[in-house]
Amino acid sequence: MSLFTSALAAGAFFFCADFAYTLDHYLVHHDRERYRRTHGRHHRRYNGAKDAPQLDEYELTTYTSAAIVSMATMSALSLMTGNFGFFAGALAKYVHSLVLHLYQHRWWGPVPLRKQNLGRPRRHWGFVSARTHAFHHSHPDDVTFTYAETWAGFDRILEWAHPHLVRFTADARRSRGAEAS
Amino acid sequence: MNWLGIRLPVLLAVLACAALGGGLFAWLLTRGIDAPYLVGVVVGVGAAAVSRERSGMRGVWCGVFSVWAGAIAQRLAGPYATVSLFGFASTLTWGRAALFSLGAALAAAIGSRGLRRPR
Repeated sequence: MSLFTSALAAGAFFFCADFAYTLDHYLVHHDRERYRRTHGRHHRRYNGAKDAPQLDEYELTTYTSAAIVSMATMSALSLMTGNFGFFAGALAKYVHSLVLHLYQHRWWGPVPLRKQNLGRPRRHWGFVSARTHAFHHSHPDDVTFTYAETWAGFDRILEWAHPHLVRFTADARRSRGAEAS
Repeated sequence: MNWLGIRLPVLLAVLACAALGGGLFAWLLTRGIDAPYLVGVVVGVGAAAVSRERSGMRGVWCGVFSVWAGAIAQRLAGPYATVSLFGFASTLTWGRAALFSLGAALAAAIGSRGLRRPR
């Protein structure tokens, strides 16, 4: 197995996992119940003054649990294909998630994020910066989507798909149900 | 619940069934019968038998363990015992790969169910 095919497999997994993360992130922001129960606490935490570790137990558990499942499934795929790039991709995704979140949390300090006036990130198709992710914490529902973790292109695609996609979200289903009843 | 997303007793049952299914597969291999999908069936049934509720996460783990158990089993006995675990892929023809994949799919489908009566 050449280094090229291993890198290709790692990149392919990383790309797919990043898309899954971005889509799920978008969906949780359009599911009030799930947001309140799970992801919302993440946003609430970073919008106050820093009073806890960079990553709390819930966050570490969420990222690690997803990473362990990714690595386990990719280990089976690597075993069957003989291409251990898939496993390396899962490992890289976990490391990237942790590093990005730890890095962007440096904006979390005595001054709450909203008061730091980070400024809306420009719409682009490049890599997501930690600053963009910090902006997302203070402005989760901004018109410029900031759900992506690695490639901002997923945000642009979601912005384009949003008018159609939003009809399939939990919030839309709930409001249709409420209207019907 | 732990970082794996399944309860420890269920995890232990899945591991025990993976060992059992792997043993059965290896025994059949020594008799010229290549049936890797049986590992998946044993793992799936074992996981479902000790679970009360449906869980997609448990199904995923069953699929993963069935592949690994099958690979380790054929390393221990039968015609592929000379091939190292890292060379497992080289023992897979399209047909064998399909049978292993079928096993993983069966493990996931059956293992995600809960056959025990809810409390």
